[in-house]
Amino acid sequence: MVSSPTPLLEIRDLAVNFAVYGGELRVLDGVNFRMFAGERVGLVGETGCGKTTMMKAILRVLPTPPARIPRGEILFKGKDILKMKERELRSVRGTGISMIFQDPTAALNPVFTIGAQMHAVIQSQAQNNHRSIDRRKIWQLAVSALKDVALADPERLLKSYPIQLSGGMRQRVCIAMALSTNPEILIADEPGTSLDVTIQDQILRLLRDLVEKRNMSVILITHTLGVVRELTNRVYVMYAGSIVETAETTKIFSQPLHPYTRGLIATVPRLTGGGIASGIPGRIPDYRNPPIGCRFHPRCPHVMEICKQQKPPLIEVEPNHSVACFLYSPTPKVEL
Amino acid sequence: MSMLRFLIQRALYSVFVLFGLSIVIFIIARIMPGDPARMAVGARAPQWVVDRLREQMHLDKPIAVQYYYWLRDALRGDFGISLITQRPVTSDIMETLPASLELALYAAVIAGVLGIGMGILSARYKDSWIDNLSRLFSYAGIVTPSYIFAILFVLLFGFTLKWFPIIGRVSEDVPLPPKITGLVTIDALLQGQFSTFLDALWHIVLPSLSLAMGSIAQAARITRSSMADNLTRDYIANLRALGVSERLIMSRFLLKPSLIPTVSILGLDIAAILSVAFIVESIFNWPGMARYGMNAMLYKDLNAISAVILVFGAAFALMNILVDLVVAYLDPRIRLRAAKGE
Repeated sequence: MVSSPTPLLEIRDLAVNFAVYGGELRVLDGVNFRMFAGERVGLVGETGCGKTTMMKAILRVLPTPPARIPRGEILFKGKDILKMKERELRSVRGTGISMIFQDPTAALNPVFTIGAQMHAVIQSQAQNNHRSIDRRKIWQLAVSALKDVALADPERLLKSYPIQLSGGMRQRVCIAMALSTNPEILIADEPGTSLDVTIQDQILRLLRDLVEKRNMSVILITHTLGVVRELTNRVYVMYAGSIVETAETTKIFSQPLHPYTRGLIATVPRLTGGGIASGIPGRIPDYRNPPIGCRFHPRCPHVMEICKQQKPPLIEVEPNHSVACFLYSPTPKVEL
Repeated sequence: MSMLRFLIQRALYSVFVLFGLSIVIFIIARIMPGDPARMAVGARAPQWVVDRLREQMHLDKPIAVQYYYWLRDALRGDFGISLITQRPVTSDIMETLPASLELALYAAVIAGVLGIGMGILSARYKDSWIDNLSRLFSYAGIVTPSYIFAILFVLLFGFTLKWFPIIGRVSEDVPLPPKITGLVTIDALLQGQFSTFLDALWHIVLPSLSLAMGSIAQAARITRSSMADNLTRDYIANLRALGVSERLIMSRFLLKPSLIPTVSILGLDIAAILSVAFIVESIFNWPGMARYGMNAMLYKDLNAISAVILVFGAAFALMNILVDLVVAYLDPRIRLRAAKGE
């Protein structure tokens, strides 16, 4: 990985805190992440581990306050997004990176028609890229974006309000909006989770087809490992605000290293194995007062003394396979 | 079509409300101590005059019958004769109501523009000195009654600085324009008398601003908090994430949903302005209906009291319908629900 070309997106030691009454939640605690053009990356972890926060931080759409970014860099093609001015930032948003939000109902403005919202996106894209565009062209692009996500009767849809659509349709509209900008990287935050299983399945299939057709780089956030296995070629495993392991997808499943990853894979119900998954006892820690050292140590079956004192760095233990765990650290520095 | 049904439905509700209100007003007016007939003719008048007047006013009949007569006449637009002015109450109201409406109209415009504008600035520059100043103003504005502002404005801008006149609707040497709507500024414009318009506008600034202060404060606070609230929503983050400019988001996609609570509160505030204006109208010697109603109460002028309160009630009902319409325009969820007849 050292001799590779510049990553398309690289995150270095990113931290995000949220101000709450009487303190601060330290949600992201030094995230490291990189992806190259054409990669399809899965980001997995329990609910509340900071996946959505990380993605919103990339596009700088976290509400600040309460959110605050005390340290870190987010490099898109080598340029730090966190240091960009609004104009430059807008040229990355949409065209560079776009995002499908987790809850399509919350992501659509209830008092504007689908058409008004898509119009704003398409028009802004043209402006940000210094192209001129007229109303008719915008309308055509919006119609074709809706057709791409297999929505029938796009003209009528554009005149509808979100409340008039079903959950599945709203999700498709969100996908259409995110894809209408022709992004280099598409972030999909648990697409379809709020829908029932059959529709979720349709949405994922649709997304896969679109991504393959357009050859986009993708970050897929999910807590369903089956989806990861099917759609991605690299996986990042996140726990309580840090990346704990990353490897190629097949490798993660065949040879998980981090105790958390192993536990996560063990929770997947298997048709062949005996009994229901074992699961990992305990839950995500309190971000106001997170455990010192490795944040996983209170739940870890292999916990050592050092884990309670130091945070393990993310180390490449073999080509393309990194893990943040002292079990695999070549020279654990024990300070007693 | 659905909007029409919505309107008719709301209008029917209002009729019921006004009917109920009329009963309450009527009963309260009749059980107040003192004989209105005696008060009308004076203490020295012989008893037979009082008795004749009681008969004329149907005061000798049971209260239900009195109400029937009153309602029958009221539906024809006849609220009887005012005991003070000795003229039909209806024509008194026709004369004083436009002055009050004009005040309320300007107060509404001022409250809407300044209040919402201040709220937007406050939300845009949250926690800056602009925001802090506007919040300070809001607290002061909400707790201070309008007549305090009226007195302060008269002293400061009227007497000391002499920027604005403090009495009446137009200057003494300016003739009133012929009555069309009764709203002097509008009549002047309709007649093309631009200097009269400016003079009337100049006169209405202080009283309408005094009345609007509370609503400005209220509107600013609600707009600010509702914008700050909606700013953290995913639908804003979504547009930002897709490259829509901050200016367009603020002025359109954040503003519209955030105005819904402001409009609801502001509408009722404006209706209330009409009825609480009596001290302000007195201070500025404004020939409005609130002042007329206050006098009627002091002299137990039953016919005038009932009519004035009923008009205020009707103003509230109308304002409610108007608010519902504006909210339905802003919020498709309400519109669509109304269309489904829920």
